[in-house]
Amino acid sequence: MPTDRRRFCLLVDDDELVCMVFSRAFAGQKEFLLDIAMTVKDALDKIAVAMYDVVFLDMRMDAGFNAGMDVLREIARLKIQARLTKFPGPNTFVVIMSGSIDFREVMQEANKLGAIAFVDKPSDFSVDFVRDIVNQIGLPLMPKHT
Amino acid sequence: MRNPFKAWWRWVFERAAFYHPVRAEVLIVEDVDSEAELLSTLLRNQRAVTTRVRNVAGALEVLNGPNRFQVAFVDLGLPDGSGSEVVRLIRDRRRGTHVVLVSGDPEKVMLALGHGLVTVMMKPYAVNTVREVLTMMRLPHSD
Repeated sequence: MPTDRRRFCLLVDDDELVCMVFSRAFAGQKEFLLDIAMTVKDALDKIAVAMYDVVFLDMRMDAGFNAGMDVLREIARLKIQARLTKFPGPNTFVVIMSGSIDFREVMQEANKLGAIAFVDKPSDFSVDFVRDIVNQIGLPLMPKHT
Repeated sequence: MRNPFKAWWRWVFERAAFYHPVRAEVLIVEDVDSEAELLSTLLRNQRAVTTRVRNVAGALEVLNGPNRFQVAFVDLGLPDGSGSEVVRLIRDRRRGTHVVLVSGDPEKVMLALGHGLVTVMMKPYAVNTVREVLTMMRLPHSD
């Protein structure tokens, strides 16, 4: 049943430009709270503390070619743990934003990780692109930010 | 000890979800009857209304109609073409519809990822995965 509570989103990306575009897209949005992690360690710390509704994840970060995989595995582990203990755990939906080469590794483990969304990161990363992604995962329409 | 007040609220919320007037409209594009039946049953258990088509032509016909689908589950191997054609059609005609690709072959999925945001459900999938998609879309479901 639809609820009116705010959506808690986490962006995991080491690219400052991407973080800036996301911040602009989410600025002034009453339905959302955006948190940003620029390193894998930071992301793991945040995931351990808070239950995010959506995680936008870049697979390729400074820590390694597939550093995002650690974050993905940790989210899956927390989900399974919550299911086993019947404790209300995170119902996190992961959106992987990367070049298509990086998807191959995830596909091998996709069965264990639940539903994961993929989107190619375009070269002209814009506020409209972010808004389009958010709209496509069924979250409330974000009006143009002026 | 079981809390009777909590149980009563749970009962009330379950009934409220059952009688909720809004139902999720879901399109299933799948040629194998048994798999379509399984997915349809899972979705109906989550209070969704399903429309099933068997091929690309059927999907085109339905997408030209008045239905507004919130989610489309698309199988990649269809008899008259690829599921990625259906994804392209959905992107052209129903921008707000969330696409879920269902496949057992990671390589086929890789080829179909060029059409914007797509969720991937690898076979064999869990019931929870279907529920996760509906939860994320804020659609009425049985939880």
